[in-house]
Amino acid sequence: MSPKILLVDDEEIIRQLLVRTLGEKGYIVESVEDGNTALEKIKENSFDLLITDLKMPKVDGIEVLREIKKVNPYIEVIIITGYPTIELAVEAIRIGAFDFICKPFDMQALLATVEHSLEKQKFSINYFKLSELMALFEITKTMVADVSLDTLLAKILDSALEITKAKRGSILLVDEKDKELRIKVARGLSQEIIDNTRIKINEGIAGRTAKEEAPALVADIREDYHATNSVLSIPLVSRAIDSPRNILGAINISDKISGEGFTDREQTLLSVLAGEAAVTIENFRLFNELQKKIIDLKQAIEQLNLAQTQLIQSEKLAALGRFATGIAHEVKNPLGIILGGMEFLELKLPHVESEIKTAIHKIEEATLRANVIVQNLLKFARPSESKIERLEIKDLIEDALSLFKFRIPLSKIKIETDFTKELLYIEVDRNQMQQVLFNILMNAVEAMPGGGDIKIKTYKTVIQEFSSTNPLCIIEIIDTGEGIAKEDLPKLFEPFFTTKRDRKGTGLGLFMSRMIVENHKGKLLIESQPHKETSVKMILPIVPGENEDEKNSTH
Amino acid sequence: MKKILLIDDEEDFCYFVKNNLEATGNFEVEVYNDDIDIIQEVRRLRPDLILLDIKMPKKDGSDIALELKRYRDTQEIPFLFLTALVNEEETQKRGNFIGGEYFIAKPVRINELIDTINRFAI
Repeated sequence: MSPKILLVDDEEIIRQLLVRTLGEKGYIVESVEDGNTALEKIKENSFDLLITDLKMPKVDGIEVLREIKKVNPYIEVIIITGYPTIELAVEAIRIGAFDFICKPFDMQALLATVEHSLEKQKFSINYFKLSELMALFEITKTMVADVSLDTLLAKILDSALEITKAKRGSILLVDEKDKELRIKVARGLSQEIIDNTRIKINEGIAGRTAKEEAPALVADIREDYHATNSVLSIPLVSRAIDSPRNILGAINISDKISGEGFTDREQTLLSVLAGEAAVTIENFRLFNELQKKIIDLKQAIEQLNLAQTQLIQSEKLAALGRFATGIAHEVKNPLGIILGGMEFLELKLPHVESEIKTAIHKIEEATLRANVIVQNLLKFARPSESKIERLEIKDLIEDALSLFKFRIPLSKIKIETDFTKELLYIEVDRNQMQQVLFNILMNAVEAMPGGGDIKIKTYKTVIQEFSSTNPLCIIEIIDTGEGIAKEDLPKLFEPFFTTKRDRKGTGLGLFMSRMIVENHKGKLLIESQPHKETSVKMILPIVPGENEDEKNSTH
Repeated sequence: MKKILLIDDEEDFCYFVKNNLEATGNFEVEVYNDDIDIIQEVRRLRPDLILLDIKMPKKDGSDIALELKRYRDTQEIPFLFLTALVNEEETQKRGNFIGGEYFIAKPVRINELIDTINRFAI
């Protein structure tokens, strides 16, 4: 069924345009011009997606969004806003909007966002439904959740032996792969028999029981090597509602303690038990499947949420970029005047006392510094296009180091490297990575005005919490400088935060470094013990090297 | 003595650039703060070089540049963009030429401006 979209915008022309474009893409679209009407519509009909203007006549868009989410928590919402105010849009996202788009918008971008949001909505609904089902299961089958299948089967078998007063018994289940019966739990049988028994359906007593789904009572099979008198075999058949009859396996019981044969009554009792057992086993399986599905869905939703966060992040950055460009232009003009004015003063006052000359010089320096800050700001606004290539980390670091040593004289500082012997490859933009290494090294050098040691280590690791279990490489740069005060640690990555105001720090180095590393799906971590050791860890995902690629393709 | 025409709507900026350049004794600087009738102004003054801002209230500096190139009597006059729209870093990376035109980023040090003018003026 086509997804249903409700569109709210007070501008008729936008409504018409969107209804037509989305309609052409196969969506069912209804449009209204204000939030209250939208709320009424949503109470009456079920929609998958709401596209709404944030600024609506009469009512506050944020308030409407809140109400709508109360009425239909499954609905996804895309905000279109004429104001690119990030605060408002972020507030909307916080309430549960999927994304926001600034006017004037690019139709292709809007369509892509619509598609993403509907995809997420589909997952969310399934997730909610399964969660409800799960809750039901948890109420009725709490016992099932707490035990393993083996414990469960052992309990069933022990009950069966108790009912029939028998010495030996086993439960065989159909193996999902080869459809043969295997012993899952046994009493009075040797480990060899347990491990090696494979019974085809329709073969042997249990096999026939399973095939015919009917109990079998064999009074005397003395010739058989592992039974002494009679054998009772009862099929385990699931009759779960909504699913086809399904043969799960069989319960085999032999050797009554009394040495007599099994009775019809015992067969009936065991059949009742088998019926209950089959339901329990089936529930156990369903429960596990459900749990697996829920985990899968949870992961899918987590991934979608992550993608959404990244989308917001990039949108925010784009807005920051536009903002920075505007500011840069406005600030650089007055900076030009100040610098020109200072140079004018120098010309007009050639013989003034040195105090005034120093003052003029300081103002000029400050002006140029302000200009550097503006330039750094603009690096976000117009980030150079990145060129991703596969690099070996040792090569990358050594290149950066030689460049660094060339540019920064290091008389009192010793740099030591400790690279892993393994060749580790990462996919990165060389220039950006060098910029990061440069920033970190520069920080280290500036933290050690009286000299000290820098150690660069590389190693491979797997960090579970890092969302995947793929191997990662860590580039760790340790210095013996003054370190970072505990209260400053949380602020390190904030833009314009610097502890080097007096040394011309712009407060953008680490901010930019983190952005670059995160854009490469990595992380930047800093730990510090002041006056002892400060460690900066750059964690990046490893990619296969060239040779490994070949290996993979030939196999 | 070289005659320079400075076209920029920032009056204070023009004031200092004019004074700083003229203080060297090598330049005569005319300032034009408006962005209309520029071609007439150029024809009237016949400068040796034009310093041109890009972002001005009514006209874009690049449009003015196109106009200058269009007319036979103005197309030989060299012009340089002097603008806050670009960064020193960006211009230096490209040897100061962007799209075939020479750019100077604001704020600019007077000595650098003088060197550049001397390179380009007729």
